[in-house]
Amino acid sequence: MMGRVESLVFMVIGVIGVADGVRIAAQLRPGNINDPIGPDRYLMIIAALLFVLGLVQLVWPRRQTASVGSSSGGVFASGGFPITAQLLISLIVYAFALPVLGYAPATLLFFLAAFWIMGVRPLWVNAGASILSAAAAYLLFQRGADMALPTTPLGF
Amino acid sequence: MHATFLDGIVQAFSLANLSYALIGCLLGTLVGVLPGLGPASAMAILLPVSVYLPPQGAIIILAGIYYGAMYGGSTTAILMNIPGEVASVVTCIDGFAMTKNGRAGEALAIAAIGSCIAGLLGTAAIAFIGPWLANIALKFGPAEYFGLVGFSMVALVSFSGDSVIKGLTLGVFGMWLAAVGTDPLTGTQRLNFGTMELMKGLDLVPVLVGLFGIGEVLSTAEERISTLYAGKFGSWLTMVPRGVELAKGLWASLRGTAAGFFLGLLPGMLPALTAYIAYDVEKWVARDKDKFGKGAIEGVASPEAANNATAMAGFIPLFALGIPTSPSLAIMLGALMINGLTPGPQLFEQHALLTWTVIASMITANLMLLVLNLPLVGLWARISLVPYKFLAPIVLAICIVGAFSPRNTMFDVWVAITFGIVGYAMRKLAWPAAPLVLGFLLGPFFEQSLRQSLQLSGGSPSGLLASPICMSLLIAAAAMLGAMTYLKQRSRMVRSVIHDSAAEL
Repeated sequence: MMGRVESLVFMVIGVIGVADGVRIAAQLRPGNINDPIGPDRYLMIIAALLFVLGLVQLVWPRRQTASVGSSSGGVFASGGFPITAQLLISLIVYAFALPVLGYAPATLLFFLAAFWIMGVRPLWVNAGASILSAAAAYLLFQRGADMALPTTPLGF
Repeated sequence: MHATFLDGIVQAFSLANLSYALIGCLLGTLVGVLPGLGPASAMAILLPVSVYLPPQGAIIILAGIYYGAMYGGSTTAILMNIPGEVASVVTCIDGFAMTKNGRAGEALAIAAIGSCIAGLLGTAAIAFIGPWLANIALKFGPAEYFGLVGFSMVALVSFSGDSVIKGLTLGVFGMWLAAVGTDPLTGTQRLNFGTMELMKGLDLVPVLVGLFGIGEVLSTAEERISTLYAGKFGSWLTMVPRGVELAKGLWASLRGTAAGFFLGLLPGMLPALTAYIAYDVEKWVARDKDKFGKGAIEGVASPEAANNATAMAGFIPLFALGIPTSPSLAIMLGALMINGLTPGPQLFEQHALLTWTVIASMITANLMLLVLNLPLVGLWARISLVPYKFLAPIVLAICIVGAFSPRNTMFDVWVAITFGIVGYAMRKLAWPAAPLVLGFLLGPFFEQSLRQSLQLSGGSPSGLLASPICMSLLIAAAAMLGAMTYLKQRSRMVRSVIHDSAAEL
């Protein structure tokens, strides 16, 4: 099932490329003899190729092999999907919070959530690790490297 | 004044460059001993630092991370049966067996010595072959470059993952992504869907940070990393093997270096792949094949030398031709481009001092790594036990800063998160990352050389076919694709080796 979904995704991306190539071709002035391929045809060629490759995999799907993580001599034991989903959600919330709250507060909240998701317990250890990590990140990136990270009116 | 290798050595011994090399080696060894974080991921996460450092400093640090990880990966492989890097998976077989036999010190020493031999010989080879190859490449026109880029992409696709179709799909998808933004030849807007942010195209840093950094953390976070066996460490005095064992280890290191170096010149030949091949070569040449798997010193020396030799060999096509042979070197190419340097034949001419400084610093870095990996081995073993639950959020936070900082835009943070999801999905579905990265990086060169070749020949493909170099490269690419497709279908061993090495990021 997953193989078919991936194939369809690549086919859709291919169609988008071809459509954009057609749009560019309609806009370009005719008679561009110095550039026989041009930005339009090149895009159409690679997008059409992507569509065909996606179609090939849709028609002749290959048996899925094990995920790469499991190849390391049995060192890694499989876990569950929710941790990844929770981490991803925390990352997305962090990205939304950055311009609103500023770098330091948003980073502190991100660490609190992410350490909790990763299983850092009890709460005081989580809070300690988050405060230390956020302070280190603030001092390193915002103060030390003087990066133009998002800030609040309070300046952090 | 034209700079030489000697000028590079003088520069490499400056305090600043020694410090860069030390930082790179420390970070690389750290990445190597920590399971779940590969050299490409670490290099991608630290790529934004390139913006803030002088060019040679950035390249020396990133190079140090690359081959430092090869050294560090062996430490946990030998002591705890945990390969810090995929390139060290094969080292586990005999390295851990040596640890269980009470010979951990010998295993660590021969791994470090073998890696150092490979590193030093590899550096010498870069110094000799690099300028020679660059000199030949100076005569290349658009048609030859088209053939070269085409060959590199096809070769990498051939060796990546267990399906050629998957590799091709990702390579073409990388080229599709590279086409986003303003066409450099005509100024036409492509695939930007009316957005201002996409007019400049997708920036390299957030794409790589997402694909390798965020993708790897998301993937590893759901895996429980456990220590299987903490073996005996051995005595300091008995660490370096002696007599026949030393001779066997040194000869195996030289064989591993030769195999790893020559194979490493080919795009797609990742250190993990050549380490496997070197191990098989050792089994093939050995009189007593039964000793492998039970603690044969050759089974440690040869793969460790091979993976480091491959890491070094990749710098030759990168510096001389501008062709990266692995994801890590693709990131190195990105670092060079961020610093306004165009890898390729002109690099040895226009930036000779910088190039020779970087090459010479490989000698100092390899010697540093030998020191770091023997006396400090106990420290690295302890660091490798840092729980991933603390590491993962810190790495993610660094990834976000890394994606944001080069262009100071939240758009790039979203790009990094999106590619993080793509990277995670690719790991779970065993889709190789190398063709996507190479397609993204070399796509513009491919397009430019193709369009320029056709411009010169008035639109006829004869311009490409008339060039013997271009024709030879395209025929070689087709032959390699055919051979690898056949071997992947027919040979279980080839399939297994390529599948296992596909995890190397």
